[in-house]
Amino acid sequence: MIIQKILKNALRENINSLRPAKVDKRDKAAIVFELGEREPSGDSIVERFRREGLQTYHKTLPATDISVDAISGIYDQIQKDNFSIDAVIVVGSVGQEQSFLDIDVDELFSEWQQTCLSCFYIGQAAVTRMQPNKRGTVIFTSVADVLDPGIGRASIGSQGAGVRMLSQSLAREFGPHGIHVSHVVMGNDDASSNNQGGIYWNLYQQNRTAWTQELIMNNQRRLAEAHG
Amino acid sequence: MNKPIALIVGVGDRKGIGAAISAKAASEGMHVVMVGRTQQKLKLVSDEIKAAGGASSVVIADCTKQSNVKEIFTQVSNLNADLRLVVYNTGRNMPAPFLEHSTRIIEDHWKRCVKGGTLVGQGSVRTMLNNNADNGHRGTIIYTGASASLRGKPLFSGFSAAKAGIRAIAQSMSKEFSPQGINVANVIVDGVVDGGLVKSVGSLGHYLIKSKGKDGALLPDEVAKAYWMIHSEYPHTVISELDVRPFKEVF
Repeated sequence: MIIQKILKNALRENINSLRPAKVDKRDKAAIVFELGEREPSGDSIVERFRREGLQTYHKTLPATDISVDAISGIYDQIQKDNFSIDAVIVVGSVGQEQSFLDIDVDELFSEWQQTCLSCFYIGQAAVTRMQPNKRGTVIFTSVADVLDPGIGRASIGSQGAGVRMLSQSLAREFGPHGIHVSHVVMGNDDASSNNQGGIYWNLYQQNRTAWTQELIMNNQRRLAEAHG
Repeated sequence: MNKPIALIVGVGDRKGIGAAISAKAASEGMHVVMVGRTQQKLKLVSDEIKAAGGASSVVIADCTKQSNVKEIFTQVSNLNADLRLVVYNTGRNMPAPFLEHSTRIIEDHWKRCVKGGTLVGQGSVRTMLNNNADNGHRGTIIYTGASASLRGKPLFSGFSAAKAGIRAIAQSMSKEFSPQGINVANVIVDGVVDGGLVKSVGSLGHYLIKSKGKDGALLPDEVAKAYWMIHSEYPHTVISELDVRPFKEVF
């Protein structure tokens, strides 16, 4: 059963790769999704993409309405406006610092729905719409210590690690079909000290012969602190 | 004094990692509490342990349910001995293309790996903090991971996101509880396990094992030795993570 699934998938991918990309004459749109209920952190990205001429939407996902329909609805509206969705960016994080023993699994589940599960839905809706064009960029974002979470960062780190693996799976599955999937690690919680808009714009602009899958953003102050 | 307890969560077929670790811990003098979902399979393992002169008990539970996990730790505490080793060995690797990952599939992966792992981890830490530090060591908690804990590949987005999620939690636990003498570690099992699970998928499973050639699949009893090393080397060497794979596995 498993092997059959893998073979079927390989066959379908080969057929898809033979199809020429659709000629899409619509103007391009970017969506910046904000996860969680913190202060929006994607303003500089929105501003940069707008300045560069893309129709850019800034959407905050409420904590309580995480569903395929809610997320698909956002994409559908943009397509009704006759734009082609070419960049999808996800920023923001959910979760709190606490001792491992204080984690409530129901809260952990809700945080996971707001971050990781949302990213599955956002990714599925994105690649479904980008596949015919054989192009498009999806950029996910995780917080600082996703690579090795410190004390009290179990829940935050766990959500980020999930999103990171999702981004890798997508990159490996859809990269060969022209969709660029990238993952940015915020080396510091305060993005304002970084040129975030410029970094994301650069990733979007990358030629497919030299795509970045992962980029770790840091700033000098934090590195100085870390190295004492 | 009662034998120290090893709690092994996720025990099924004797030819699987959970059962192999159970047999190993029993042979090293621990009372093994085995948690699984199939009474019949657990009985075979406990019979073998008994025949070899070891001690074990069996709990049928679903670790994605908080009440079930509570029951496991009640049974552990009824044994009136120190819980010294916990292995969380669950998770099911069912490949599916990304666009065919339904909410149920994504959530099930998360619940099996992250929710269950967190609940069992919390119960274990709370119990172990009551232990006397034996040469600085209160206990060992080991999570079974996979290569998917470290990298995401096509067809494995849900499994990989969940495995990486619990690995991150274990990394944070390790830093938080190491000062109290609790070692939390991840074992990255990379390759096909020559065990009951893969053979349960029929001729295809047998084919998969065969295609790996001689010594190309992981033998559970050999894998169990790596887990035991993590537990027994502490505190001289603190192992936070190790991987195990057959010599010819490409990685």
